[in-house]
Amino acid sequence: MADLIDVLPSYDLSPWRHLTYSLEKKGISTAELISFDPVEIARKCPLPLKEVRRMAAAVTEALKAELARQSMPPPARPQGQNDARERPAKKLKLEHTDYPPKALQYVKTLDPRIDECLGGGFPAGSVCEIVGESAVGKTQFVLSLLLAAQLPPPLGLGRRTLYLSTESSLNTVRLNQILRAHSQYLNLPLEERPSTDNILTVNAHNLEKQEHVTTYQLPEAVRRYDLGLIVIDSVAANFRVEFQGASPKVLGERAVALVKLGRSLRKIAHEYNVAIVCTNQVADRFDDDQTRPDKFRLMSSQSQSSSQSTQPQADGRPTPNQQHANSAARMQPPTQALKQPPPATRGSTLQPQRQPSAAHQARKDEIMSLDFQQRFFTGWGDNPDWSPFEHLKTPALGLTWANQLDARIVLKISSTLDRTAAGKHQSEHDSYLWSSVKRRRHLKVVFAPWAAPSMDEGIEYELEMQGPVSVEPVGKKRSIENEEFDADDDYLGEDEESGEHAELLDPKYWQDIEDEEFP
Amino acid sequence: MIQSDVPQDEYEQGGGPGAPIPVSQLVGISGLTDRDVKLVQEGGFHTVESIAYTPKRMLEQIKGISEAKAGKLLNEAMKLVPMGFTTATEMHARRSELISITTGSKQLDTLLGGGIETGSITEIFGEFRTGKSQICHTLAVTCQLPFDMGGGEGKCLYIDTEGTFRPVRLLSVANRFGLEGEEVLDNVAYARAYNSEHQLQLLQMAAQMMTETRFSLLIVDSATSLYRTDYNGRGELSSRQSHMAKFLRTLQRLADEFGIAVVITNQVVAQVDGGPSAMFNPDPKKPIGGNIIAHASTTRLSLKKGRGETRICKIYDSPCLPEGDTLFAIQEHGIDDPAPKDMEKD
Repeated sequence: MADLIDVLPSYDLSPWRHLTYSLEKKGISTAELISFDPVEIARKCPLPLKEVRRMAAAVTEALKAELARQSMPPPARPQGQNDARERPAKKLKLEHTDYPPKALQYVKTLDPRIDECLGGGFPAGSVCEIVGESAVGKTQFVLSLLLAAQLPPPLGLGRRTLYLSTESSLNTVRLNQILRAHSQYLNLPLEERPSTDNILTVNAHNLEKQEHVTTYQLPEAVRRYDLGLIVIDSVAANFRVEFQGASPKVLGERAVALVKLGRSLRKIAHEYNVAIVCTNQVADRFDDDQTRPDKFRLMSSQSQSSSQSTQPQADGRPTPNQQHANSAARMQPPTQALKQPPPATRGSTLQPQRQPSAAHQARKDEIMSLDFQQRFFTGWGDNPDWSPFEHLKTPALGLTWANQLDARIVLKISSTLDRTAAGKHQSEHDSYLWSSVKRRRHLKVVFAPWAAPSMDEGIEYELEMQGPVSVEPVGKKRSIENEEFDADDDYLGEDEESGEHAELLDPKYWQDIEDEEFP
Repeated sequence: MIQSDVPQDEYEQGGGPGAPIPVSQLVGISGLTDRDVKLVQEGGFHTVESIAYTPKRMLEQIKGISEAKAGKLLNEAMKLVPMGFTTATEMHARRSELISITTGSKQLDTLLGGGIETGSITEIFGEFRTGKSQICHTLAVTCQLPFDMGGGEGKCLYIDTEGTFRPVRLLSVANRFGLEGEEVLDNVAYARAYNSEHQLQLLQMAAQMMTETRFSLLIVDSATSLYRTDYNGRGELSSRQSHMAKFLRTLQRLADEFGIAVVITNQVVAQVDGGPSAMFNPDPKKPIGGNIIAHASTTRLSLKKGRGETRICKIYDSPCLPEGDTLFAIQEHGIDDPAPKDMEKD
């Protein structure tokens, strides 16, 4: 209660002297006095309710009067809205003097290109998700983070790390491999190097244990061991097993459990400035007609110019002819597709031009539906240059979980023919296709408050001994090399019937041409 | 070094370091009263440790303890006891005690970093006649070998869903390693699963058996075939996948609890749904079971037929092995290295 003297120095407290002692003893501040229910304060102190109520009213009144006096325009300036807008801003500043100066601290992946794409790395104080299908390298990413977070800032946080596993337990073999192979660690003197001593781990093989750990053990562990990074690998495994079926009741229960988990994680992250990284699994998305990205592209081009006549068949599977037409469409400068504003806004701009017909309303409903919208937060299906090689996935746990996250990073894997390896297995036709398949991996930021979403596919990376390493983007140099391979390909093409067409349909081929046009 | 961070005085209060802390220590902290403590003691919890490691649900079942009170008890108990966390260094020490079971082929063992890892799930997939079941038969014998021969010194549990188990094959493999045929067969517990529900039930029985004697290997050949017939169409897909997730989760638990190696086989399908893209798809054969099985298995191996007796094994997914492939051969006496003439790849 003593702070009333600071807030309102001119206010005479004498009529309330008999109350202030009790209020002071219970540590009730002025702000609490005027914002809480007097009943509660009266019960807590304990004081007569009427007196408390009267005092609260009087103090509020006095504060209001003081505020009116302060916000009175100075006589020299006419009464303006400027003043009114400035005042609250000033007040805010006073209250939060220590607010944003603390810059975000990041856990870096130690690869400059990936870090740049992530807008610096995984910041302390936030909950991030890395999602992708099996074998894409989710665990590889988090393992290298577990080590990197131990480096002193600006590379890491200089604190210990924790690994909560719900699938297979922490792979220490791989952890030591990274530690031995990464140049960043090798250059450090032994005592400054990150160590497996500073990584804690715990297994949670059922949801009950997981909840127990996240709600009760983690906050205490963070305090006790000064953790800087908490990794949950993966968040979906237990939820997927223990909530069976898709009935509304089960989904509702799952949503509650997810929100609880999200809340306790966020609380830890904010309170102790800890970076939390979860991995998530994926489920296949069964593409209905409307949700296919090529349909999305067609829709946008239709509304711009009705020249596009290729419509996917009713079953959503384009015929081979249409497939070629689609790839031909892809040949056109893709900037056309990119330049177009997002469909949601176009829906509103179109309104004055067209009759608000039933069809239009249906289109609008479709655009607002989850099936359509999910491409913007799941990370799959938002690329207008979608290739039918890619199967659409959806991160597990749905929209509820997506809402719990600060950032989502998607990892993708795709198989392409590796031209360089093609020669090796020529004699054995059967194994030709198989051995020459090269897997390419891409990282993409879907949403993050501190980083821009990645364009197109994102950046390519490979998994090496030292962890994930980005690959030089396809540029001028690469395209020349490709031309050389292309020359070889003509020769090789005789061996393999589909070679010629495969080359035409390879999205990479078109990408190179674009890159030459816009270096 | 982590351990030294635990405040020492908290142990000393209870009389000597390491001694359990009586529940009465909680009295007076954040509103916990004598009565609460008495209730908890009546519920069978006498130490702070026992409270800290009990799920909240169990505490709520104690008469007179509300949900809020249970949360408070847990929060405060957690502050007094050491965490159940281990450091990665300890984990590594524990992991290096884990053994790998030899496949019979040196080349294959090298590729797998020693053999089939215990404590995790290894999935083997490929078309028919690529040697999936042959690997399983060989492993069923090698898992009984002594440690110094690359074995697991334990019994094998073989869950067969396709009816492809042939004891005769085990005898010829046993001959090769100089084992007594009868004994080898005695050490393989065989179960035939007839539907997916039965398959899951067998695992419950397996857990029971594993507590009684030492097993080192659990084989499910194949893990997915029954699901393919028991569930039809997209309408049942979600229930199929969640049932499969439960099955795989149980396998993982067995692997963790008993330190056994789990080997499952999987079939592949040609991807027909890609329409014209299937023609150009560089990787047209896919293991079935979708993302659930992909996420659940730790190591995934892809098999492919090679020339004659040789087969190619490729690492499809592994947390610590580099991508790579190698040749092995299916011989009369099980899986072995290919003959030198077959070794030349080109």
